[in-house]
Amino acid sequence: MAPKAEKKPAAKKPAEEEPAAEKAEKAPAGKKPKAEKRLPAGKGEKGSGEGKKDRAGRKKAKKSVETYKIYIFKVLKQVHPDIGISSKAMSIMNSFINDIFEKLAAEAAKLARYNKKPTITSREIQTSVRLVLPGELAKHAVSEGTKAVTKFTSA
Amino acid sequence: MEAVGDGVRNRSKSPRFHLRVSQRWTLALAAKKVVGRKLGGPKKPVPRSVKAGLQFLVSRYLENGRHAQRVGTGTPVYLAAVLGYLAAEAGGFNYLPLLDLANNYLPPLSQ
Repeated sequence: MAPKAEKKPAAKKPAEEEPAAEKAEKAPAGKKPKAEKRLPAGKGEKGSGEGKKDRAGRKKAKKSVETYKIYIFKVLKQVHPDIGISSKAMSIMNSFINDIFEKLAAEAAKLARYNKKPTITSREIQTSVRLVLPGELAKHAVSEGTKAVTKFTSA
Repeated sequence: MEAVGDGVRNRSKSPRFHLRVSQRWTLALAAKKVVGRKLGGPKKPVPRSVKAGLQFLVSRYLENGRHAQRVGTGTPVYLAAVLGYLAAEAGGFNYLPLLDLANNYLPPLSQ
């Protein structure tokens, strides 16, 4: 049931790409008040402030919620500086990023195990990107990753 | 001797002498600054996302024990770059690859 539930938002995205864009465009027009927008951003900031993940419930005292929302917003401002995003769309994007992360991490773990190595390196991630993502998407993703790693090592 | 002679005989050159002194002083200060930066100054911590030029968080995505025992240094950087790129794509920058994604991985929507 859970994977099917996860697949549905992924299915909805390409079908409703234009309506989502329209919603995103209409959002700054004034359909929703600004106060609602700030709440997810606040949650995102709190999550980033903590820094540690708490999925397995190991630290019950600190219930910090980690999301990708502030980073998704940063990327959106890079691509379209004057476009906003609704809370539901942001939630969908967050689920999408989590889904892709789990796929890539699981594939990389499999690759490491097949080769009898205990380490996941950027090479494993690159191969899993090529396996999981189709066509041109994989090519561009690989070039982006290689560029980032090169800049990271040189800096 | 000649310089002293010139100084004594023609006092009109004294502003040039002052300019030279001030230039030397500024150069010395600049040199001190550069040397100070290189040698003694403690390095400030720079976040890895800034080093890699990314917007997504470069952190312990792959925590120990969950997916593998060890994680390489470049792994979270690479993964953050890929996730950031996918977020940009899905955000409406160019949605043709997403249609390709739908065709390959999802059953066709029957309406």
